[in-house]
Amino acid sequence: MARVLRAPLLHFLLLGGALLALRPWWRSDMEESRPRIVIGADDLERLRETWTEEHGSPPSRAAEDGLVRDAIDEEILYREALARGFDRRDAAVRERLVRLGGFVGEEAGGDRDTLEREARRLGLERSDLVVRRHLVEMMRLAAGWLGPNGLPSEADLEAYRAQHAAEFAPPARVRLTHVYLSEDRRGASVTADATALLDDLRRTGTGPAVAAARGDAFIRGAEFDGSPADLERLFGPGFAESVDAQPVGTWVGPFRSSYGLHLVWVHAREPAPTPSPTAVRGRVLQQWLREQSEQRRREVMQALRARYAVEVVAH
Amino acid sequence: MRWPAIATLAALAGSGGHAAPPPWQRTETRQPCTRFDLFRAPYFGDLHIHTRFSADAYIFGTRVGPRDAYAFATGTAIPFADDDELQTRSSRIDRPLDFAAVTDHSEFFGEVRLCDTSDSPVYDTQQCQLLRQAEAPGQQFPTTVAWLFPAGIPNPSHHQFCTEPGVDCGAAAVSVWQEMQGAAEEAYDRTAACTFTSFVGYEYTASPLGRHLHRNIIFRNEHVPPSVASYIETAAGGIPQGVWSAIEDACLRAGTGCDAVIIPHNPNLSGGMQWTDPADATEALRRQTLEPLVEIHQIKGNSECRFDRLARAGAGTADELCTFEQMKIADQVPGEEPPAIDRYPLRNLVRNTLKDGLALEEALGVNPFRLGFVGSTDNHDGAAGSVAETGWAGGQGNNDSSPIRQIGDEMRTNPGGLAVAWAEENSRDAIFAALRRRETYATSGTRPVVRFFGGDLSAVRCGSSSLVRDAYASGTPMGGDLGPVRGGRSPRFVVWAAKDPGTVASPGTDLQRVQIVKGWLDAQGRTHERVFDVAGDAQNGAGVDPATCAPRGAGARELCAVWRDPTFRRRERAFYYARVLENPTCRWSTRVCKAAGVDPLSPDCATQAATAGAPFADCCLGPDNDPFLDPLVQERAWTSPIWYRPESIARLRAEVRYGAQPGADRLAMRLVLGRVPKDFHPAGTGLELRLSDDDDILVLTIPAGALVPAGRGRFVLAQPIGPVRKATLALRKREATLLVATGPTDLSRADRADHLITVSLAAGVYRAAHTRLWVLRDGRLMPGGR
Repeated sequence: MARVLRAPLLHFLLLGGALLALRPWWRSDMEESRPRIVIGADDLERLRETWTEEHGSPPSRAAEDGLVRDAIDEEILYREALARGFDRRDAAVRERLVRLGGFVGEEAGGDRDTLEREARRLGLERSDLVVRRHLVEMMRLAAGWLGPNGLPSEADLEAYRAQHAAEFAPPARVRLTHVYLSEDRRGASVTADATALLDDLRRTGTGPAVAAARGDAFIRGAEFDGSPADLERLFGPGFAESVDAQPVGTWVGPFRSSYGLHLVWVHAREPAPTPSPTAVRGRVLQQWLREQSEQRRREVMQALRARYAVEVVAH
Repeated sequence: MRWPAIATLAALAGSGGHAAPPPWQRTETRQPCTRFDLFRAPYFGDLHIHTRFSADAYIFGTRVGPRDAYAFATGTAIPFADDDELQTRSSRIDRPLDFAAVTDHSEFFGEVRLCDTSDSPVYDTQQCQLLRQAEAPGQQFPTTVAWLFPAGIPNPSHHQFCTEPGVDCGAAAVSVWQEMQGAAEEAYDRTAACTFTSFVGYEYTASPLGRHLHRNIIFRNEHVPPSVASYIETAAGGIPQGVWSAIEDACLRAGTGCDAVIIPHNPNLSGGMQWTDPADATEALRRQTLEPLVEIHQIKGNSECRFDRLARAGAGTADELCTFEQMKIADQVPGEEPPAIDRYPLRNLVRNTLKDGLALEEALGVNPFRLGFVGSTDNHDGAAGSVAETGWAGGQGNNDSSPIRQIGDEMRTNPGGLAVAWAEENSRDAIFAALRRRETYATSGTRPVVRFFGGDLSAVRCGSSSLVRDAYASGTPMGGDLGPVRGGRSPRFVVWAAKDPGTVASPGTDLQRVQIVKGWLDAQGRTHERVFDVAGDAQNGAGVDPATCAPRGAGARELCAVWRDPTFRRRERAFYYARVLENPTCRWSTRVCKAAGVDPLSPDCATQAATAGAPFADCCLGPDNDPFLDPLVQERAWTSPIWYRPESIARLRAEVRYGAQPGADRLAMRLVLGRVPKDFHPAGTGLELRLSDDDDILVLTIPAGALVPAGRGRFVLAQPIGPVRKATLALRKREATLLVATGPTDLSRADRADHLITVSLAAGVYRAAHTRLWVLRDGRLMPGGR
């Protein structure tokens, strides 16, 4: 658990939670007239310009739709952050305001509080882009907060781990010998060579100990012992899948790698050992929190969107 | 059965001793790895990574720490700073690394910690606000200077606030150092699965007046000094001698089990000062021992060699492939313009430095610049091993956080390279031993597999399934050295390369060719270099589809060659390294530019750039209008060199005969040096001969004068020393021969199995080592190849 407490993600979640706790989530006195968010022609133009500046070319129609959606969400998050007073509580925002106060204030050389007051008098907490983006991110984190009762019980975690056993298990191991047929060396005949050699090995009952010499030399050797992921990293994409589920103790193949074809003799497969729940508890908890928080953020965003009347100029 | 139960127990007890031991000692408590290859496997890593504990990374907006960096290396997505230094971007490695070291700049550990902790007494100081505030890249310079200037001045001290009462920057620095150790420990897989190895390390960042004399310190195991010796702590002792002394005192000689290597990097930004001539042979030996490697490729450019294609000239070379990933500048001295190619400092480049090392060895008897190669990233986003050219998230915080910044400001940087270690298993001891013996290669980021050996190798054939075994039996792998081979002809070299197997998203690129780069010193004391194509085809016609960047045309999946040097001369010392070139692919910037609607491969590039905005003009830099940049790159690998030294061990015949009972074993050995080492006189020079695998099998120390003259250049041992009954040294014009024979003694530490054994010889500043596969035959253990 000590390790989990140091994880940055959890910090974010706890932080978000602390901020969110300062204000009840759902207001009971829902106003009749929803606040309006208008994305006008100017806004649209600004979005297009920023995009073009960053990417060199104007956004496609789909990209533009995305930009508008993001802009609406950003405005919602920003307004909600201000409504919750995040700008008065967050150290980074205040830091920024102190600095801006120093630049623009009339009372140069004032103390931090004076400078911050000066910045607020000029409304910089509302107009400065960095403050705005920071508040948006704070609110985004807050929206994913799971609440004081959001932490899972041990039973929840165990159920989650069991459900996702494959993700948390140490990798399975496969031990195999392969006979390599180089495509560089054999060219077009590599497939015929492989099929013929496979038939011959099967017919003559040749075992793995002597078979490797019947093929070409492979730079990583003829023996492999490791996880399917290792297999993929040594032989190239798709190879682990080819070997997966092949019978043990017989020649199978040919399978294609990044280098050519391979006839494979699987000696043994050791299924993933069941890890002790305590060994993976940290990872399970982190993933559980990440998933739940993401889910929560989606729900909250949806609810928030419903509270605003959004108008977008035709584009 | 490589790890019998008894071996496991022995290894855990710290004594090694299984059937086929590796040639290094196990210095830590851990489970032996399930996968153990006597003839080694390539492990891919990154030994140069920064997180928020580096003041510059913090200023660029990086907020992740060492734990996140190791998490990234093993496949977890981490947040990156965006243009405003908010952590809204995210990226994930395309395939996990096998090993990594977080190497934060050690100079300001304490200051960064105190400025990053809200209840610290200095949190509200202006200095701390500077560190934390967000600024655009163009506005970072004053902040960077305000923070980093102590690393660039002769008598540096910590920041002013560290001297105030109640402020303990030293303790804060130790807390950072401990957090880095903790992160490395948590990430290290000590189970038999051996999925990931972390190293504790840090960067020493001496930058006198803007010349980068930077070095990474990589520690072998968890036994590390209690605090870091940065440039600030060690400046009084000189650069880099100050940090050498600190590492010798607090680590190598501390008796704590500590061990370390020091890896210089970015010589391309050192203004020619990264490697200065040693004061004497002793200092040369010290450098050779402490600094066995150089990081030859990273984000801030390549340091192998340099060729300016517009000037049609190179810095000490005519090699046109040396346009690869060059920075324009030669240092970061404020106000200095990039030098023209004919004024470019030669020792900014590794190949030139290796050549100078040969000349210095001739003069001093020791080569101070015996540098093997690694690549790494120097990523300042904590993104260990983020080297894919497609979708690169950048590596310097908000300096390259968006396409416009990547192209406009950081066009000449690149995703950086990887360090590849040939090791028996993926553990700290195994990887570290590979670093120490330089059995490493560097890549520009891709993952080709490259074997390289030199020596007699008369039995070695490309295509043979016993190639690697035969090569270890009769030659040295990359990083080692060679004496003359039988007959005085050129040694043979074998290079065997296989393409990067690739991933689903990014299939590996075929190989174009393999080259051997030779540098040598002639009889007149002049150095030369030459590049030989030894396999593949420079004219294979491969390229890319200009519209999609997909590869066009084929190369080779594998290349192999056995090669002899047609220009070899027995008396001329030389080095040889292999360079493996892939077919061309689109550079990272080409992909970013294309996505921005500016196609570097199109004739309309300039028009497109004019529409897209000024910064994108750099998209159109290429062979016609830039000395170095090219929208297409040939990713590559460089093996550590093999050095030919006329005075090194030329031949070895030896035999361990096991007795019928304990204590009745015998050793006989005949060792031939290609010529008498410089300044070697039996009367005045002591001699140490060592035979070792994971244990010292026999250490024979012959004090000066113990070998007495016996006429005609022969010297004999006047009386037995320990188990050694007879030792004879014959000094002739062309070679020196040492015969050693023991009486009955205990040689049971020489395991009764085929394995690698090292014979090493030290006399004064002379050093030679000879590692070969020894084989067990009829109850006798002997070197297994000619």
